[in-house]
Amino acid sequence: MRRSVGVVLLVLGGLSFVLPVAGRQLTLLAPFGTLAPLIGMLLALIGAGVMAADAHRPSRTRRAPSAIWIGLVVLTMALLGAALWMNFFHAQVEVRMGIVQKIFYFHVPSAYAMYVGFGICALGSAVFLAKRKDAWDALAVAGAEVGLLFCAVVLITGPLWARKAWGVWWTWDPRLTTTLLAGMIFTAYVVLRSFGGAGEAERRFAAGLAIVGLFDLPVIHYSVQRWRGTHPTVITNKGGGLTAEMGQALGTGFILFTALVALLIWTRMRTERQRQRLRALELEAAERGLLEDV
Amino acid sequence: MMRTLARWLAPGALALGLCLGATGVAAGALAQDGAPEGEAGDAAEDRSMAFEAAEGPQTENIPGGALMIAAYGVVWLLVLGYVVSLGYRQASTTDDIDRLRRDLAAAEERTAED
Repeated sequence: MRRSVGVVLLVLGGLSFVLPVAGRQLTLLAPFGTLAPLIGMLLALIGAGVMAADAHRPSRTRRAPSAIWIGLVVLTMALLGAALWMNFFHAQVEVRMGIVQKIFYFHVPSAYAMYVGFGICALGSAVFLAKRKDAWDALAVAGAEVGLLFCAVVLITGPLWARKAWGVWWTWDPRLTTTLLAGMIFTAYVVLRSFGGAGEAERRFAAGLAIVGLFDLPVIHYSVQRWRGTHPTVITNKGGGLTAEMGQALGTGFILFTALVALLIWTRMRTERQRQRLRALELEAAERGLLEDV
Repeated sequence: MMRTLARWLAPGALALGLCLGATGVAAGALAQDGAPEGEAGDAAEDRSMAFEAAEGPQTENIPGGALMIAAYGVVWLLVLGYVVSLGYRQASTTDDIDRLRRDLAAAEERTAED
């Protein structure tokens, strides 16, 4: 019941952001006028809180979170507040694109977080292939999932910005295409790990796939320099550029996303290590004849 | 079946990766070779843009407010949704581990009694 309430609140929150793009608004939130997105965000936060409370159950197995993990959560929340303040109150509105340019302060750090996630996945996979230690495999799974999350953020926020800047939602620009390709490669990795079984051969095959995906990352980065396309470059050695305030807002965004990607990978890796322990216990139980189909 | 498939496909996947890497390097080199000196390096600079701060009220042809709100909302909804899904996965795994530990302990007790 609590889970359903949480899902409904999250969906309502999501619709309050997405519908205005199509020139519509949730009738439920219409009386709030321009405050509707804020109310939507509040509903989404309450929904997430309700679902988190529903997921939490007393257990003898669950370890208490470490002080460093709690510190990282507090730091990330503080950085989020600072980044939002910098984006909306410190950095100026851009003269040609207007307020939509503020997507830049989350879009670019999201791309960086995507590189970090996919890079960690490839690193974990390479070390797993060399040492066959479960911890590295768990790191690879965590990196792939978190990288894919930020890849989705990049591929959703990019078109929202492009609609205003280029007049189209999507174009087959080299950087956009190679980013989509990376997303597809690591989607394949996550699907393989989720539905392909937990055997040694599957894990090794997935590790090889992650290393293949790694080759796409420098192509994404340098495509904008080597091939002519539509995607702009803002941070270059000469030309382009940001005002001091815009640079500070972007810098805060990078620090925020560094903390966020570290927190999410750490948390996801803990979950994966727990699943590995569960798998070991299942094997032990199967050997004793307690499980019928393992 | 999966093991055989993986054994056959793993070298292929690695070879594909090496080919992709080599293609990327070759394409980069070709882009540099085909362009007049200095042009390849300047391609990024040609498209570089400077963000300029607005002074005073501005009007927009395509209202960007809705697009910006959607972008910010989607970012945090995706992150929130992921965190919630992690919570559920962790809770489910914890439940399973607790249940298995209980079953294993009970099995050990039964074995000791026998």
